[in-house]
Amino acid sequence: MSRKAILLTGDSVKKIVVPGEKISDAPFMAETTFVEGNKTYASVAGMMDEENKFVPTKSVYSPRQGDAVVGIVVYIRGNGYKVDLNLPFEGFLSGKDTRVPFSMGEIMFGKVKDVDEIGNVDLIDVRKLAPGKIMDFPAAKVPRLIGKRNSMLNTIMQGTGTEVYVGNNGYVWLSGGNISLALKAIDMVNRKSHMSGLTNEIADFLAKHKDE
Amino acid sequence: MGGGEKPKLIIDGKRIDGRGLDDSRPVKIEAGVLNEAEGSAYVEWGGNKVLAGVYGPRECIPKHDANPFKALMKCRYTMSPFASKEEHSRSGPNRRSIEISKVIREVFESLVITELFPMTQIDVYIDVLQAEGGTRVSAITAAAVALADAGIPMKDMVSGIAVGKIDGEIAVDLGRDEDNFGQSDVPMAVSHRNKDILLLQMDGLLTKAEFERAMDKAISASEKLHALQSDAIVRSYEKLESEGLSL
Repeated sequence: MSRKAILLTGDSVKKIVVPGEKISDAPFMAETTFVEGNKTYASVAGMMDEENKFVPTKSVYSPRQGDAVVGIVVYIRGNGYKVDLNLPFEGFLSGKDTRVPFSMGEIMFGKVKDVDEIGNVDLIDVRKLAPGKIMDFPAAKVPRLIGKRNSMLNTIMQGTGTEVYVGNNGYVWLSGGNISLALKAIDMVNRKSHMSGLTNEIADFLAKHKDE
Repeated sequence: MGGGEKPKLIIDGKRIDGRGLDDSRPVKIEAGVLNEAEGSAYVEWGGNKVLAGVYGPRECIPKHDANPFKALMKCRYTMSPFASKEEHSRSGPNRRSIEISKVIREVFESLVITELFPMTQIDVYIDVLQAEGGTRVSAITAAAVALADAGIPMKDMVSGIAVGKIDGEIAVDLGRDEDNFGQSDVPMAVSHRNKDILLLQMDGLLTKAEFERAMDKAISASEKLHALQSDAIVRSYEKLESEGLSL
């Protein structure tokens, strides 16, 4: 059986890569690659883009300093807050790093201040978000949802009038406007993230379904 | 087990189900079949039907088992009560399935890059819905696709394949009767890139020459399986593309 490694997607061709597949003869390190014998291999499934660069499409989110995240307060301690960040462990927001008091279940948008060697996350620069809809989006596809210079996100926000915050951790917060249409658009980004020309497609989709 | 008289396993160079000695049963693999698991795969391998689901990395439970240097691989293989002719009573773990869970776990311990996720665990659940010989290798094949579907970083893909000796001949992918009445059964797991042997068990006896021939056959059969596994991952993108709203 021949392997259909190439998907014909609209106007461009992208090659799907499986874990352990060689992506470059030169060694380079990235979060989703590893080097063996001076060659680079993919450690997760993904694809090669137009510039022959490896783009992971399925991966586990590992927080990095400076990442923007959406979190939910799950526990209040004397010195701060435990925050659900869609990670194996809850993040921590020190009371010293925020002037806004939070209560249980409230949603925040903030930055990763620090990650220690076992993956504990400290937060900073947080802002409280109003009650809204939280959805879980595959973290590997978050760059696609944001787009180049926020193009995708702006398209969705303008097309639906919904306010959207996207965290690198995969949590997406939505409020106001036509939420159900925004959810449909975000789902479309998830399903078609490996296709090119997606921003235009989403814009067309939103224009067509504007009055629903 | 099996019961009855030993049937003739090879007639005119053909095996009971009409296969040649180097042929596997037909294999069908599908990735991303479960909505709630982070990664999943379903494998139909002849009469075997195996479902694998992956969760994690997530908080390690019990907490004192957590390793500050790497993630813990956990694996649970179970056979459904209705899986085969033999009785499997309740579907919980038993002596046989605990052993298989252990060997499958060891396969993935050497592939998954666990150092990236300290203090966590990665769970692989494998349910055998129907069994017809060679379920542990089907399970490994399914679990590898499920882990790739979950986006858990791995050094390589792995496929399981059983080889063995029936009526004095080395054959690939033994079915139930060949397993029960054959002379030897060697389940193996072979990684794709380096051809590392990650699982090797043997029932019965083989001479050294026979074993080497069996190994070669297993490695070439694992190539075909890897192609099917990759194809399943590629198809999971097409499937995702055509599906409706999944919220």
